Amino acid sequence: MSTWVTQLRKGLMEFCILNLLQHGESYGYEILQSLQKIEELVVTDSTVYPILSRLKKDGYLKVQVKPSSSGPPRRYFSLTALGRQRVQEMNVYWKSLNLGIARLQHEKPGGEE
Amino acid sequence: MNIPIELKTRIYEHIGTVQNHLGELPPDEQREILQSLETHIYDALESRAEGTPSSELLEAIIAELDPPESYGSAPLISSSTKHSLSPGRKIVFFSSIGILAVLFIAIWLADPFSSDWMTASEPEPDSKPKAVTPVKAPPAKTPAAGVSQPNTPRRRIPVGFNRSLYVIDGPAGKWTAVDFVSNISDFDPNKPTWTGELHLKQLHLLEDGTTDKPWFSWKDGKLFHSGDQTEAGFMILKINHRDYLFLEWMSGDVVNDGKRPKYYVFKRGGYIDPAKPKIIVEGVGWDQMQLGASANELVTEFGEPDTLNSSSMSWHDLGITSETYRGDGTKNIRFYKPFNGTTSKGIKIGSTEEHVLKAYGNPDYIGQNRGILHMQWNSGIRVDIQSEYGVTQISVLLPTKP
Repeated sequence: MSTWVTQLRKGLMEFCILNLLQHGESYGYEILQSLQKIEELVVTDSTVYPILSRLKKDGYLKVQVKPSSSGPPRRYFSLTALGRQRVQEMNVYWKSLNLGIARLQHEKPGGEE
Repeated sequence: MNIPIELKTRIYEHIGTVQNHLGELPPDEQREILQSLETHIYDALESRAEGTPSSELLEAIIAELDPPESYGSAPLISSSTKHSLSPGRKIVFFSSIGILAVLFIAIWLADPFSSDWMTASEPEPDSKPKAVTPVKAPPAKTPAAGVSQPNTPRRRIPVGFNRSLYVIDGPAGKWTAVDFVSNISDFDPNKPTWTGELHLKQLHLLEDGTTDKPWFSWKDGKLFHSGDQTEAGFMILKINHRDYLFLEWMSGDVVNDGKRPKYYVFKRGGYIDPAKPKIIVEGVGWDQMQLGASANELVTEFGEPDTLNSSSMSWHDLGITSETYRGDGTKNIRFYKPFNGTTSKGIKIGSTEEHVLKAYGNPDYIGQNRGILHMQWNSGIRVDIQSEYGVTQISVLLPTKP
């Protein structure tokens, strides 16, 4: 069970970050705090920051550096056009997958309810 | 938010540990992750601290972070070529080795049979330096716990150059940029190679490891940039009895493309803005060149003097001489050509006698010697006038009671 949950969380992380940034730009610490509100995800710094880095490298996110009162400049992440397209595709797939799984949960094998 | 240097050091220590576990990742991804981690720590400190954060709070925040080794095994990271050292670090490492080798060869060529190369003979004035004496940068006074401090290097003052008036050592203090060179060996104090503007004009390394630039901190011969997350090495070399600080410049070419760093070259002393008016105040002085100032203070502000003896120091390029009595502070300051300031009443080098008298009235003392007219006022000023040149020297003295 635990392995299955771990694998599922890993796969969902990118999906959650892209969905979060659909609503506007955010910086690492803020993104982490937002994701940590979903307790089931069990998000930590060592998972989020490498994913942000990879999403940027893959062209789904862009970064804007802005001054911060706390210390070094903050790096604000936002979706690129490619990132917006990607999250739309993911959401369509997620919705379809959910429907399919919901059906499975209520159907007997062979398609009978 | 004000972060004490001890906490900054601890932050970079943690980030450095994390970096050690990111060897599988390309340098640009490493940098991304480390920058995110750094701002995370600062943001967490700001959100929880009221005023200056404590080391206990920082330790608590670090303890809440994932262990450094977990970054290297984070999910969804594409594998890439292994790097034992990032290209930037390789460049720094190999260039350091190269610099040391060049220095060693230069020193050995200058005096190959001397076992004590720290003692150099007096070179010819204005000659290109034939040998340089490296002075290892001592650490800041507040090193992190557990960090060993190297011994302060032994340094001898060459015979014939009296430095007894001041003792300035180590990197702490003000430094003014004088050149930008591709190689340390390219630097000639008499012939700067950089003809453009030097954007980094001054670097003030404070004793506590901070600097006048909030994004820079320093320790053990390294300058850290908190924003760029870079670490630049620096070293002090003695050339013709003067200290020059060579700082690796971590430009984009170095950090991103792995090219070899070039060097900012600094001399001791603060940057003097040529556009800022210089006003001599009677009985006080100009700027930090003030009566009562110690020789150490003057060297910190204005750099090492061009000439020095047991009772005076002169800066030829500024046109200033400070006179003192051993260990007793500045008693008299003389301003002369090319000094381009004025007194508070508008008198400058070249002003006429008539102009001086109109500004200050009749002097409290007047004398003449070898064609030079001396006029002095009790407010603490004296001017020397030659008939064909006008004012040739303005002196600031302690005010005297009438």
